[in-house]
Amino acid sequence: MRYLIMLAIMASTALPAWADERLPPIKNEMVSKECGACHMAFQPQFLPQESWRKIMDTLPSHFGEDASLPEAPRREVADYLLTNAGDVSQSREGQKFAKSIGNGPLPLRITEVPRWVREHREVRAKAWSDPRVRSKANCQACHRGAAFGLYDDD
Amino acid sequence: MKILTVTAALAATVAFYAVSAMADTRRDAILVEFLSQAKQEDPSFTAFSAERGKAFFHAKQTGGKPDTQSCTTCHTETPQAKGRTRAGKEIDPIAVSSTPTRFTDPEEVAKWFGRNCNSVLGRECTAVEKGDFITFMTGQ
Repeated sequence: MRYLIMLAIMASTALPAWADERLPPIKNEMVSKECGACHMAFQPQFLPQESWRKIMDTLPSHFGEDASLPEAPRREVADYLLTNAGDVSQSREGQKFAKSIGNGPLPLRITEVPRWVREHREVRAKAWSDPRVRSKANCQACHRGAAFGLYDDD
Repeated sequence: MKILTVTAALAATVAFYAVSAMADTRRDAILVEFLSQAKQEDPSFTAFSAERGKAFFHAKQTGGKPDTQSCTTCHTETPQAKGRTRAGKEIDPIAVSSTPTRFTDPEEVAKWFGRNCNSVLGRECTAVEKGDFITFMTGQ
């Protein structure tokens, strides 16, 4: 019993550090499929509700491409993103992303969020143009566990 | 033992052909639908052309979004090769020989022609363009 309590204490104290830069993986199949068709399905905790609302309202003109969806799947994806957005999320990393925006301009790209910028300031320009990376949207090129919400491997 | 192995191999072969035959049937149904639309647009229209589909696939367009001037921007010039989205994600080859499930789900077909025709051409594709495209890719 004492052993169990010890274990529980160890686990609970270890948790905060372990939880850092870790986001809950996406649990909605429609979100994984539709967002993931063109880019990694980014965890909704990276952006606040207001950003997701705007993105999901402007899919026909989505960062230079048409990403339209019929209304039913659009709504399902939007609901999931809004419910799990950083500013309403329990995720600590998500809250940090949302908080870093403060009163600044509303980001439409995760790469515009101040916390993202800060976390990537040491990445050299050469790395971004590497053919294996190609785009800042290609998280998995460097963060192998990104699809599972693991970003600790930098 | 040997009989069992042969039976298993046979079953696997039959299953493979059954699956691709099912995919073929579904693709044919989609083509039939586009053909009837094409005939509505032009009563003298007779058949889709793989040659026209090929030219359409490789053509450079000017009416769409500047970052996506051709089908080949993302799908590459080789239909059997993997493509890449502008966001860096791999796309399964567009050729049916490489990806047998291509053009078998009417909703997916509608979604992707809807998006990509608008991105590349700045308008909807005609039924003829869509039928030609699928006909070309079915032979690739």
